This record gives sequence, C-alpha cells and structure tokens, in this order.
Amino acid sequence: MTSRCSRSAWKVERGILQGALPPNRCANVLPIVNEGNLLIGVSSTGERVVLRLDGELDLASVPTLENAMADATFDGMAEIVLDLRGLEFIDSTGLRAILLQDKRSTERGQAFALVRGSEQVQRLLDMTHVEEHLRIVSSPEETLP
Amino acid sequence: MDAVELLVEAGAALAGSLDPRTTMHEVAKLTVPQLADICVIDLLDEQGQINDVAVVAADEEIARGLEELRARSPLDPGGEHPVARVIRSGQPVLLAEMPDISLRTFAESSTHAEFMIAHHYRSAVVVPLRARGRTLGAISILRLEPSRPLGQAERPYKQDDLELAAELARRAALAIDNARLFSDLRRLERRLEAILINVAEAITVVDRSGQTIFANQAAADLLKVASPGELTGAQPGAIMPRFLVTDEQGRELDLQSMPGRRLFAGERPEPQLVRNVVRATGEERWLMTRASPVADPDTGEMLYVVNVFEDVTAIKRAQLAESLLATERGRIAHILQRALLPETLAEIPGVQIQTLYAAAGELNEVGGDFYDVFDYDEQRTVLVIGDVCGKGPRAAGVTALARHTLRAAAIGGQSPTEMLATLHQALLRQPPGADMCTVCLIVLAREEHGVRLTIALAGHPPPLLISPRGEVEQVGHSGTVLGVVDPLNISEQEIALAPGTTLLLYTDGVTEAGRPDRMLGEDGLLELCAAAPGVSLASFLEQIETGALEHAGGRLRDDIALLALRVEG
Repeated sequence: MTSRCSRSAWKVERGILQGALPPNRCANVLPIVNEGNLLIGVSSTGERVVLRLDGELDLASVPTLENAMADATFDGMAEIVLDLRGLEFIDSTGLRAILLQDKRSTERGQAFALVRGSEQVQRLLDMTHVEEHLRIVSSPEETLP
Repeated sequence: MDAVELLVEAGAALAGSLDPRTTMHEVAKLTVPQLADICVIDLLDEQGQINDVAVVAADEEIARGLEELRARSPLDPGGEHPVARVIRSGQPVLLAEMPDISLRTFAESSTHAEFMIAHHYRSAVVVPLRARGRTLGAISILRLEPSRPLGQAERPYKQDDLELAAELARRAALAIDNARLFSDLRRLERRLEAILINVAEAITVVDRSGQTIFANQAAADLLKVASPGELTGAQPGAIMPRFLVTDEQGRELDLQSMPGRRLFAGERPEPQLVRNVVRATGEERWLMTRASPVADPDTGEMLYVVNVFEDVTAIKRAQLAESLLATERGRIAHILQRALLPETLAEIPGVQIQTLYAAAGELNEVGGDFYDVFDYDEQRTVLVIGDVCGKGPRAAGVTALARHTLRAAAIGGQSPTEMLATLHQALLRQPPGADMCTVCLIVLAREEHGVRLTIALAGHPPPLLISPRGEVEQVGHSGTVLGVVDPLNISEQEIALAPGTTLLLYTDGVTEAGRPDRMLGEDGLLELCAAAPGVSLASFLEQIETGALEHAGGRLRDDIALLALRVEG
C-alpha cells in the first residue's frame, strides 16, 4: 500500500479493511463512523470501489450510506461493490437504499454487486425476491462480468 | 553650536514628535544654518521609490525650488545621484568639493543640473537613515559658494562633519521610524475601528474597572442608546439595570455573572446564552454573549475584555417553535396513524378477527405499517397486512395509497396476484419511483366446513398457521417486493383452514424487535404462537406485543402491526 498508487481523493489509512484486501493490491481505506450502528469502510482499487458495511443498516443509518454513496468520486468508477459480510442487520429501508443504488449504477453504466451477507440479510433478500435482480458475489475480489 | 550641543538638541527635538513629516523637518532644521546651507531628507516609500522629501534651507527660495524639483522629477533609486547611491549602499558619502562637471553627472535632469550650478553647490555630506536594520532614506547636508561671509559654513565638509551627520542620522532615523510605526498603528487602529463599527454583532470593550472604552453602533442599538458615545460615557454598571437578564432556566443574572466580568475574576467562561428583556418596553431578545481577554503583551496582565453579543432571538424562537411543533407533531402523527388504519373491519360469519398496532418510539413519526379487512364479494373477504418502507409524511401518503388501491382493485374483481400488480404499478408511477412496499394479501372464501384461503406474498413475511394443538407453520410462497424491481414474481397458495385454526399476519417490526445479536426473530415468534390455542385472539396478540417489547427492552425499532383470525367451530 503506497501513496504512489493511491487515488488522490482518498486518504490512505490502514484500517478495518486491511485483512479483507489482497496484500499485493493497492487500496485506500477510509472508515466513516456514523450515528446509528453502521460503520462504512471505503476502499478503492483502480476503477473499483468497495464499501464494506459493518453493523446495522436500518432507518437510522440509511442516510449515512446514502451520503457515502453520493460521493462524486464514485460516479466515475467502473464497479461498485457493497460488502455485506459484516452487516448484522438490515431492514426494508436498507434494502430499498441498495436497490436504489443498483438503479443509479445501471443508469450510469456502472457495474454494481453485493457480497453475500449474514443469514438475516440473506433472509430479507429471499423474502423480497430481489436477489434475481441483483448481482451477488461471494467475495469483494471476485471479478464482475 | 558644537557637535555635542547639536546632538543634545536633536534628542530633545526628536523625543516628542510622532508625526513622520514633522520629525523630518525638525531634524533638517537642526542643521541649518550652523552645519549646512541646505538640508535635504529623502525617504523611501513602501514601493522603494524616493518620494518623500523635506528640504530646509537658509534661503527659503532655494528650499521651495528644490522641493518643486524633487516633486517634478523624483530621484531614480537606481541612478547616480549620491542620495540614491547612499540608500543603496547604506554607506555615508563625503563630497568635499563638487565641481560643475560632477554636478552634471548625477543630476536627474538638465533643470536639476542648472539649479545646482546656479545655486553654487559646493560641498556635501550624504548619510543613510538606518533604523531597525533597514535603510529608510538619507540625509544630505550641503554648502553653497559663495557662502557665509566668514565662519564654519564656508569651508568644505571634512570627515568629522560626516561623523556628526552620521550620528545625527542614527538618532533621526529611529525617531522617523518610530513616527512611521506610530502612524501605521494609528491607521491600523482606525481601520480596525471602522471594521468593528460596521460588524453586525454588538461589540464592547470594557476595562478592569467596568468602564466601557469602546462600543460599536450595533452595541448602541442593542443596548438601546443613541450612540456608542453614550456607552463609553456611562458609569460602570449604569446600563445593565435597564434590562432584565436571565439564563435559559429563567434565573436572573447580575453583572458579575456575565462572561466579561467572570474573565476579570480569573475564570474561563463559556459563551452564555441569555434572555434579555428591555424593562422599558418589554421587548425580549436572546443574546449569545462571548468574552475574550486582551492582555498586555509585556506583562501578560489582562487589560480589557472584548464582549461580543450575537442576537440569536430568531434562532431561539425557531427552536422553541420546533419543540412545540415536535409535541404537536406527535399528537398529529397519532391521529394520522389511526386514520391510515380502517375504522371498522369487515365481519366474516364464523371467523373471529383481531388486530393490534404498536408504534415505535414516542409516536412522533407516522409509520408505514397498515392492515385492512374488506369484502371482496358476497362469499369472500380480503385480508391485508403491509409495510411501506420509511416513516413520516411520505410513508403515510404511500400507506394511504396502498390501502385504497387494493380496495379499488378488489372492486374490479382482480385476483390476489393482479391486485398486488396493480399496487406495484401505482407505486412505480409515484414520483420519484422510490417507494417500496411489502404486502401479504389473503382472499378468504367461506366454505361449508371452515374456510379456504388464497395467499399472495409480495416481499412480506409469510403468515403463521397455528393448529388447534399449537403446531405452527409458515404458509404462502415468497414473492417480489412491490414498487422497485420488475417484473414481479408472485405465486399464490391455497390452503383450507379447519375450525379452531388460528392464522397470524404480522409485520417485520415483531421479528426485528431487539438488538441484532438477540432479536426476537422468527423462532421467538413461533414460540409465542404455540400458546395461541388456549387464549382469546385479543390476549394472543397482546402476548406477542408484550414479548416483542420485552425483547426490545421497551424500545421498538419499528412499528408492529398484527392481524389474527380464527375459524370458529
């Protein structure tokens, strides 16, 4: 992880995502701590940005995710990945926020994918039948088609 | 006058002067006529130009003429004139004899040359004015020829004249520099005052005795006097009694408890919000008052306190209105929530129906949960429970839309799947197409023995079927949530309910009660359901509500809606 290969907009911080990243790739991690019980770790490698969500994505914390996603830096990215593995809880408001981001990315011609999350997260995806409308991958490094 | 006398006199003349131009003239006057026929002081301006000149001469005509010349064609700082060279080098120059030829070489113009020749410039000393490491300019003393009838002034300058001039220049430079600094300071003060006079915040400067030594117009306006002068002219403490000053809790504050006085008392007070009522008129203002100390830079002793009063009346009023509004909003939300739920539910012969609604939090936001029971036709009844994503007025609007769209669709004779598709289309047409809703919709048909249900789910938790023996199972096939993705994938399930069977429809507020690591969950709800057969439907729903609340430690994450039915017999 060197500053030479980092995108200038992001501060390099060895943070919560350290373990999740392959050591030979350069990435920048910017943890965003918010009200509610959600922690968002942002890491970007080249044209791909991964947002790792830890905690709870619900009515209280959705605005934080939306603020993070509204960052103009993401507009030009080819791929956006939401890593849901650390998400303990998601409610329908959280699901809606994800679906809206999927819609925005599609409009921009941007690939958008989710990394499969906990049982509770999976149950909501199953119950609402949206999984077939989303791209789900098993790890943040998985190449998107 | 000898050299020592000159310097003593110079000290006296220079000590009192704080205006740069006066100082320059005082210095020049000291040298004429004893030391020189003409004394010229040239000063550099901020741009490095030799622009400021003072001339004193025994012959006033020469002084005027030379000042005019300098004004018309200023000396070139990079030129050959001895003044320019001395300013550049910082070294004094003695020009004992100046023949016409050398006068011409350093003249700025032919007029300048003519002037010097015509007035018989003969001998000169030019010394730099240096203070605080900078060259400010130069002093030139000149002798003319033919000069005095007899005496000192008629001889050419020598080295000791130069030394005397240099000594004089050292003192003069310091005096001129001081005068300039003082003048800069005054200018700065005036500028600062102009700024403070015009800032919107009221500002006062108060000394240790409590005397106001400065106030701007905003302060005068705030304290209801005509001009800042009335404040600076008032006795300490004379203005305060005109106002009733209290803190936010309504406790009266005296002068000693204001931030400014507390600073002098050695405290470090935080900005204080005060309510200030003009006793004469009853006018109420809210003021944020801050005080900062001004200390003597040398001793560190606190000299003054600068008080800044910010009128926050508008903000404070808005806050008060907001808190009133929040209370009122809660009341309205409660009424609105009731309006979103049907006043009466359709009755079904042979089937008991019970509903329960529990709002999360302090009822200050309208939730999006809803239920409804209405006739489909003579034999059939529609039972609906749903959850609109989000809270507040928008969710309330969508909730009303959902309920009424489904009722309208039922009148048109649509199947459960078609009814849900109709609602889906209605949601998609809602600007900006971001409303999401989950629904469990059941059409109940009465049959000879018991009832038959057609269940359709759109992103909603499946209903729970509780047998008379307390066995619990989920019924219905999961289907697509409404309003966000296309196409819908919904499949109906038909089941028969035997007499004594209980069916529970619920929203996810029940299963999501509690922290993520110990939510009530589906398992917890299934356990609560097992107790259903022994109790009335009303008690059954209360038990579920109690269970969820206990799990959530009294604070629900989301609203809870419950709808239960039981086949009699």
